[in-house]
Amino acid sequence: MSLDQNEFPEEELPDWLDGLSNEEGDPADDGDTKPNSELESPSEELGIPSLEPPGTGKLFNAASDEKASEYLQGEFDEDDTDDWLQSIREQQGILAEEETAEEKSDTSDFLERIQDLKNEEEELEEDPQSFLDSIGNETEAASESEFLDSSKIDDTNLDWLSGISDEKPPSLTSELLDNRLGDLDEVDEKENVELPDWLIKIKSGEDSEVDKAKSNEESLAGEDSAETGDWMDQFADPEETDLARPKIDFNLEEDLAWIKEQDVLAGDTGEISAVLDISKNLEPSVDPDWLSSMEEKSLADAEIEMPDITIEERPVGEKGSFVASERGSELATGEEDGISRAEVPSWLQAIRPEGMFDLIGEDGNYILGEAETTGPLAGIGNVLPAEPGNVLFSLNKVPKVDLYVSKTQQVHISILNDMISAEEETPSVKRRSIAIPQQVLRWIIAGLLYIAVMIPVFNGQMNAPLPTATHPEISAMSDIVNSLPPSSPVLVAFEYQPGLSGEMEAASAAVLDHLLIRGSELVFISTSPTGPGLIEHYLDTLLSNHTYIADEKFPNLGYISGGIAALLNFANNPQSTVPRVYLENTEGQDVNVWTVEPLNQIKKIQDFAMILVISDDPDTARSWIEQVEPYLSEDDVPLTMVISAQAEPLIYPYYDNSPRQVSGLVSGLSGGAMYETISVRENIASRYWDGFGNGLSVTIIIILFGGIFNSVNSWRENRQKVR
Amino acid sequence: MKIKSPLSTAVAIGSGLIVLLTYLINVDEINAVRETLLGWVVIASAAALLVGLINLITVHVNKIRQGKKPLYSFVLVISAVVTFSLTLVLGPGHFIPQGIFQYVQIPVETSLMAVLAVTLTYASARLLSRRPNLFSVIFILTLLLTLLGTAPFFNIEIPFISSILQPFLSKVLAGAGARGLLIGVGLGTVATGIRILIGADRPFSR
Repeated sequence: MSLDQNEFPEEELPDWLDGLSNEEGDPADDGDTKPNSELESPSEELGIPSLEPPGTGKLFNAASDEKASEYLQGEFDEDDTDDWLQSIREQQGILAEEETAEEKSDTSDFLERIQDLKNEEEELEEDPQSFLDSIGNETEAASESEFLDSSKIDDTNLDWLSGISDEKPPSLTSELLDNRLGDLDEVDEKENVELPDWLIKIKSGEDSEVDKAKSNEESLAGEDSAETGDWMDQFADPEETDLARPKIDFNLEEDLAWIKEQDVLAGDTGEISAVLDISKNLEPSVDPDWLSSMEEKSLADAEIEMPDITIEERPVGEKGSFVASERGSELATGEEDGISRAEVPSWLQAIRPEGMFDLIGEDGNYILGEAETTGPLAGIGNVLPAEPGNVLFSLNKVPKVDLYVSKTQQVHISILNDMISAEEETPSVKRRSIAIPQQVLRWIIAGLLYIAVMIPVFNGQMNAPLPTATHPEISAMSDIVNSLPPSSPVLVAFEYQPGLSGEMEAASAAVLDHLLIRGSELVFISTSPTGPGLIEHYLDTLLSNHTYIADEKFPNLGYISGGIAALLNFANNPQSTVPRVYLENTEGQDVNVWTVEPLNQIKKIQDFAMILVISDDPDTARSWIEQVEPYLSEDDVPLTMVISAQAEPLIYPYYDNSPRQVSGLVSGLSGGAMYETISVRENIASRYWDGFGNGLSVTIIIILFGGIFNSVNSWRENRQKVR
Repeated sequence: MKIKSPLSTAVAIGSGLIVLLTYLINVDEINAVRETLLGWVVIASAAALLVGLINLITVHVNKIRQGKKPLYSFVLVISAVVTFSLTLVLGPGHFIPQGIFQYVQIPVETSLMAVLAVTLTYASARLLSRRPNLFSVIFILTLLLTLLGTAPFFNIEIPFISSILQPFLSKVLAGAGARGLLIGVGLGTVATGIRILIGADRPFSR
């Protein structure tokens, strides 16, 4: 009974039922399917929430359809269809009362019930407990009989239902409403009864709505008859009636039980009972194929839930609320008249709006929901929304992402955050507090070193003997230079930093001097940004005595960017790597260096007579060996190097190799001094040799005595700790 | 659509394969492509150097505006702009850029090396007090022998040390260790190259 038509696909609904569904369940729709206010208004005006299930109340409007009536006559003929109802009636023992009820008129029955209601209220006020005890006994029989009797209220408007049973269901027509409202007025005037609020509301008169209901009833009845004729004809076919018969055995006792309560409490039982009766009886007719597949339990549950909503709407404090609570307790526990509560199917649970049906509290009593504030259902609580799809029943649930983060991962996260934040901050240099003795010791060490180095400078004497032992790599360098023919183009690469210029200049000065003496034409290049400046500085300070340098006829190719790739490119095609370098000729004109000597002879790297790399970095020296040397080895062009003493261990293996990748090698100041010894030509290495030796000697003494002192001191401290 | 990562990876792999092929086969067309790629590297690197200079100046200009040690940043910006402008206009061989290089940059960096020499001497002297173990003793003894063999000790050359012991230490023992390092570097370079060529490493896609 409480099945919502919106639960089923529209395409599965018959046309006439679909229209009813729209009208009943979608009041927001306008146009032709405007809801019939008459069918809604009675329950509202009576202060009773909508007892008729959606879709069933409109059947009264369709009662005028002749075809439907014919179909229903055959469908619900007592002879073949109402055995189940007959048995129920016999069990209830109400058949006799039905006959007597037929003799009653609508008005008298209604007035009697109002009088009964008044009496009950008085009784409740006087002795509530006895009244409540009597309810259980009275409601079953009385409501059951009235439920069945009420179906005979209106014979005129429900001709089409005459074949369903002996009793004829009433219709909530406008005439009936007029009669009811008139009766209410009479009762109020004559007896001056203190009516409840919902009756007062009726009494206040809403004739205009009644008139409106009349017109709506007429219009909708005509539409329904036109729309449902064909469909109903099919069901009128005797062969198909079996399929359309209800396959679900309604629990009439349960229906009647709660309807009894409604009858007793609401007072106006005629319409309600009629509505429920007709709805129940017509239920099979509105569930063709699509409904036949439904489970019995689901429909039974749906019927059970129907009174929950209607009962809860009653004002608190009235008798109905008490009964409703009692009823709710039964439903909550799932026990009622020995019938276990059916399970709500999952699909029905899924479509049920959240929170709207959570009417039963922890104590088993119903919870009053929020009342509607606007619209025709104003004042009624726990009302089904008109358009569930357009109503937000609850906040959209954001899917929770359960991300488990272990403690180790949290530690890693914090470390990463610290690293990132540290990168963004400018580190503040904190002045370290150094103990005074250590600071003094540092100054003493620095002073001793400075004194040892400066003595030869101030003395002006070179007492230290130059190294006599010559290393083979240095001799190889000297031999290569000596083997170069005059005016041989030699490429010299400056690959060191200005900080080590002192060592590198002293180590390489003798070699370059030797080359210039041999008449080689030097070409300078660098892969370091500071290289061109170092070249200019070097030539101006150390080699300016040579004419080749003094005349500034040497080409300085400058800086080539790109690191290893640039070296490879230069080795592959020197001219394309540094295409535009200009040099002032004797006539004062700038000419491209590749058009004049010595570079006009250079087409490829092998055209140089020798390559000399001056480097303090073993990686840079290794780049030259790896990228350029393979090209040079094709034509046996020697690759020689002057390197810092710190790079010697890493570069020496390239010399001590077979075949040699480095043809000649001079390392450090001592290597420069050795080369000067071999070439028998003093240069800056010899001048530095005394100061260099004195500095190393003082360093050796400091380290030696410092180490001994600290070792003894540490040993003494440990011994004192042991003691 | 994010195409930066796959595009950069594809470019890196393609360029690496082309350059690698030129070592294996000698085809003029492939060599021409390699020369073009390497030429682009030279130009791009030079542009990157300029971009780095501009970025450095921008960072310190922002620091001046924000008041974070503005004096240092101001000196840096002025020095960079003046040196760059003069060298660009006059050339590196002119006496003004050469004077800046000779009287500012070389002395500053050389003095740092001098401070390093003092610091290393002090640290070596205190090594045995901080870590009095066998390896510290070996380190100190090796250092002393190498220094003794490098230069005459107060104008006195010690024959055995300078002619035999010091070359043995620097060329045999140190050379053996250096070869091991170089072999490791070579293997690492090959592995890194293969990983880049097969796309396992994508250092250019970040």
